[in-house]
Amino acid sequence: MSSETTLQALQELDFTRDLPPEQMEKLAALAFEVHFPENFTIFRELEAGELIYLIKSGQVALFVRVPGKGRTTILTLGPGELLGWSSLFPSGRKTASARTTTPVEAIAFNAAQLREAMEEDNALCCSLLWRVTQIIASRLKATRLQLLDIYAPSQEH
Amino acid sequence: MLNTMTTPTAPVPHPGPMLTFPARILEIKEEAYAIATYQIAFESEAVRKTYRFRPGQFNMLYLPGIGEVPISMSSDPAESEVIGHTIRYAGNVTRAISRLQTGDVIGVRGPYGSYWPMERLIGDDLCIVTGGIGLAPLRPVIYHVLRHREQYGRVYLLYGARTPKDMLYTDEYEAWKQQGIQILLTVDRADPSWRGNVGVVPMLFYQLRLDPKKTAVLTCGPEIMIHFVIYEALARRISKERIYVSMERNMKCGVGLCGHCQFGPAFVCKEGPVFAYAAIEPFFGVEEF
Repeated sequence: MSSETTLQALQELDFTRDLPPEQMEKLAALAFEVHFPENFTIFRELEAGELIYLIKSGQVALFVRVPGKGRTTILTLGPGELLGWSSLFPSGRKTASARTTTPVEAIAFNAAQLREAMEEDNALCCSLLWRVTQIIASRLKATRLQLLDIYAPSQEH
Repeated sequence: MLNTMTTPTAPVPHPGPMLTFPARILEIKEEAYAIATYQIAFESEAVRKTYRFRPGQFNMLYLPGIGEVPISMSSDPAESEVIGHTIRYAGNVTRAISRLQTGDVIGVRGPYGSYWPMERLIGDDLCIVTGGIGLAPLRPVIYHVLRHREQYGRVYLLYGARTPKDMLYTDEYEAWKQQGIQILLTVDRADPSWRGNVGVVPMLFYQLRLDPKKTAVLTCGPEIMIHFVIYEALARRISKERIYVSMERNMKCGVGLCGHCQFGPAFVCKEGPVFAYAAIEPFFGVEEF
């Protein structure tokens, strides 16, 4: 995929759409496109994965193995969402396994290269960390809601 | 005082607000565990012919010697001779209803309350966001949209349930999709057969590209879910005036007299259950309310 096509893809994704042009171009230079078939394991829990993905199309299920219960899907991610953010941190191991439930197209980044670019460019670092923080915060909120089991039957009339 | 400029218009007037009429159960359909839809019709032909309801309104269902329960209508408002109520068996009255059979008679008074402002939303995109049995008061909205499809823009249904088996009206989704409603489903807990989304319903907003200037959000479900739906809608710059919420409180009289359902300056049975978020924002989520 040419860097021009990558740039265009990044301009369409929610995660990157509002980045300043110079930051967008830096990211486009680091990005490459990947395709996964259905039922493909992209990474496994506790792996020191090297790649971070922005999903362009398709769906990925994040699951953990729970003793006695087997594979338990905890979240699914779709177009525009960030997959594998834990690799952004130097010691980051994947906190869940990721498996496609449909064919998936994604933009991938090498986490080490991305970290290096962020260390060299504070503005880029700030932009990306804001976005990653927002995603982590929204997933935290969603997890709280999931833990509350809000649809459980309650005593009413 | 509630800002009536941002609240749906007044309820449909009816002749005797406290009058209960007998209605016969025509059909009972199990929807999910401890949830069923009851199709009922008034015994009196005169009542049957004149009764009308708007999407989002509710009836008081009465069982002599046991009590009354407010239940939203879940059927097509254009076919009000047979009225659907989707009921979760959760308390004394609803458990007693669960023991009734086709042909039995219950008392019904209503309709009560405000309704989803479908006329005001003509020309808009609609984002219907709901969870659990909260889909029931919004199903009449879907029927209304299907009957007047040309009046509305893009219509999304974002629906979440505890598990795939807890989803309501699953046999109707295909027909809704074919008539231009984009449906995104999610469950909190997937089983091995589930191929859809896993996660809470507000997260489905991330899959949509909404135009904040022409999108209205209609939401109903557990109040904590509504909080997060409002958060995601506001984050997408949808204005407070374009977010409509159906609230649930302990409704007893249905006509704003007894005060059981007081919610800030409003009575949910009378000024609600459907409110524009802009009208209830100051007391929405306040613990004492």
